[in-house]
Amino acid sequence: MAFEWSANTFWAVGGCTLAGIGAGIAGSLNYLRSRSLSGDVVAHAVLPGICLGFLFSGTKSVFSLVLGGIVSGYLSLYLISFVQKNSRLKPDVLLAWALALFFGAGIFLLTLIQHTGNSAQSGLDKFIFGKAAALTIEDLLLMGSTSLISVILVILFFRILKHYIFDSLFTGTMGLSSLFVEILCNSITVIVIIGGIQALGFILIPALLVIPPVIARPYITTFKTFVILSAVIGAAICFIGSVLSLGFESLPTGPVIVVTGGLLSIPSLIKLKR
Amino acid sequence: MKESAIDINNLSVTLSGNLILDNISVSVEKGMLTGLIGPNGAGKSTMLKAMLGLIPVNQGTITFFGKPLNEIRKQIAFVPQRQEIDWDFPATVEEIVLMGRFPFTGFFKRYSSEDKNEVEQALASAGITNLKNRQIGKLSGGQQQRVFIARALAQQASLIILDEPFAGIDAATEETIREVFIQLKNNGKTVLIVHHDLQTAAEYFDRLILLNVKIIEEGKKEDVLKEENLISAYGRKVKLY
Amino acid sequence: MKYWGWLILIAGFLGSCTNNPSTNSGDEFLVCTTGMVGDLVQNLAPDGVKVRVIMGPGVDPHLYKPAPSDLGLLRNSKAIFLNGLHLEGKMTEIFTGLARSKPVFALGDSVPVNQLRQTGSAYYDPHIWFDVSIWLKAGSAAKVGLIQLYPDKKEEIIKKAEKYFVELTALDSFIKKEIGSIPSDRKILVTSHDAFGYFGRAYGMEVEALQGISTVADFGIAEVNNLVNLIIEKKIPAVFIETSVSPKAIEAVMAGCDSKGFKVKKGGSLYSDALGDPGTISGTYIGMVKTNVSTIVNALK
Repeated sequence: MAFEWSANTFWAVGGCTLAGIGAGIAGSLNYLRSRSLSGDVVAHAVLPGICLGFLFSGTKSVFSLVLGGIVSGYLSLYLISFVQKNSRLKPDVLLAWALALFFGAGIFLLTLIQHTGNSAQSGLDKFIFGKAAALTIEDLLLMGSTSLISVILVILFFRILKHYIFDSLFTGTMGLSSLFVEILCNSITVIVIIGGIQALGFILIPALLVIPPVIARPYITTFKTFVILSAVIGAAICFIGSVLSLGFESLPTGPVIVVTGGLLSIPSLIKLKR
Repeated sequence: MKESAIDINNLSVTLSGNLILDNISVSVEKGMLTGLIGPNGAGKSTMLKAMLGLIPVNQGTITFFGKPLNEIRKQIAFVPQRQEIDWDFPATVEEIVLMGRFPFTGFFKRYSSEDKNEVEQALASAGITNLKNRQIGKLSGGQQQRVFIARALAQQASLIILDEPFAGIDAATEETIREVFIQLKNNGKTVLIVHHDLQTAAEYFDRLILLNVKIIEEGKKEDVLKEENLISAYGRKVKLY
Repeated sequence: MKYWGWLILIAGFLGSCTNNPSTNSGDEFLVCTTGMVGDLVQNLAPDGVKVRVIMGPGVDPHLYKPAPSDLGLLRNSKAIFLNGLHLEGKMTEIFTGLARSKPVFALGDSVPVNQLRQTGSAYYDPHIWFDVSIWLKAGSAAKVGLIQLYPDKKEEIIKKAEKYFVELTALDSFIKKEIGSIPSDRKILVTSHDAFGYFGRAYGMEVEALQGISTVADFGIAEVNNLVNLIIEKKIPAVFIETSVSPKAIEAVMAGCDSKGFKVKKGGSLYSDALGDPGTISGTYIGMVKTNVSTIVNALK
């Protein structure tokens, strides 16, 4: 089986790798905040936003879809904290409920769009599993930008994130607005997921946020190395996975990446045993 | 005229529909070791968090050394309960204590050698110099408490507020922490502590505040620990050894 | 609590979407899945018979999941006509269930197995409408079915069928002539999924696609690279997108060719699994096929 390093290969592998960087960063933050499931919720929440973005703009322009995704991604997170404050529901029930609600809404809208038969609509369903093999240079730019934004935000607000995530009471007394940091962390999650969905689809992208920090945890001792290593591992998983799916016909790239990550996390899971 | 470190007037707080603090008015005297005591659920932690603007209040004004919170944050060090923290966080003891230098560095300035020196001193005062590079996840309860004490010391604040620092720690740590507080008092600092154990309250503190949703009594130990006050607060007779 | 109010509102809205107004009309009607089947049945059915099509223009029948309103239509229909051969891949169980209570005609089942295209997977290629001679067989099956439904209109149906089949035969010749005018080294049709296998076989074109006979299947980078290399090797001048499938994959292939210095044109959009908008030329089967043919010929000649 010829291993061809064509432009298409470069775009596919490069795009996935770039997405992996951002996913690792967002995942490491969520890991420490004990919010790893929020990646899953956001990923499912993005779908209705993307559909609405399409319905309102009538085209499949990346901008309107991204905007829609961002709006519904945020909405889901705030719905969760709103209900959390005003309800006796436990966190896991809450997240499962939010996930089901948004996913259901997303499928409803997607089916609605499918039924209108507007030919521009086709391609929305590619968001479900991603289209890693069909990535082009524009996709690369989007995914590179989202990862770059997450890198910049983490560097800029490094100490804030570190102090807040460890002890938000302490930073509260220092006058740091909890709301600000929550918005920051949620933004990074939403942005990174929107970038990563192009490659992996929204069903698989949460895995890419969860796995790299799990792999990294036993090997790091500081917050800084945790974030960096998670980003590197995220990129590495995507790189290896997409290259592996190269060597065989009809092996879909997204799932290969996730399975690769899952297998590579076994040693860490063992190390993290009590 | 006694100078107050903290003045609370008409503070009321409701959480989840329950009135936790009912029109509290109390002062904490400057330069004293004050213990905030009362039964479980009395609102002690809530009072701390309300004072520090960490939770919303129904009504009330709070000043520190005569100033509102926002003007004087840097002079206040807060040590939360140990279990409110996820100690699995990847960091060394030194990094956590360095956080205490926030009033001097803010969120963006590099840590100077002065910062590092202050941290060394704080670690020494708390008796954990040897733990400087230890991962916080590998600390015992007493060691964790000392880390938090060191962080508060590194802040060089005038007012230190602690939430149950004596809970679940070993005897050696208890000794060390008491010495730290006495040292702080000798240096003119004010210390306010939420304390869980009535039996040791008289021994540890100069002043006491007995709280159960309302202020039952505050001031000198002998006044506060009178039998009728304890019955008011705890709902029954409490034996003091 | 305010948000409960919203939840109820939304649930109510969703619930109301399942109401099917047309079932109250009292008229009977036939339901067809794709526009191609619908057009065929409409042309053969006695005058005045209503034909409803579930999958409109631009809809991908491989992926289509019926809405509650579709289910209402199906249940209230006099009979159902579908393409069969798993084209309507996500609806198989529904048809099995409905067959117990009403006539369900899978037109593809009437085609002799030895004429069906097999592509190596377990299924036959369902895109039978692109070989007009095979589509004629489907037409015969539809005719038989309609006679079964309207026995008193037998004469009318036979007459309409004769007339329509003449048109189809003319179409078949037309395609042969048009495709025949393409230079032989350019007779290669590259599309998103393998929908034109019968077309290629019947009219002498080599057919290449990124995805297999169903758009459900995924494709990897290897398939993309292979197709790019094939296009460059054979100097294929144009590739085609499809109206009911995402153009993303073909666009990636085109970009790949471009990166290797070979500019392949977008030959146009072909109707693969659906008709065009009703009222336009491509809104009928014959019109759709002719439009496809002219798109192909113009791009490749």
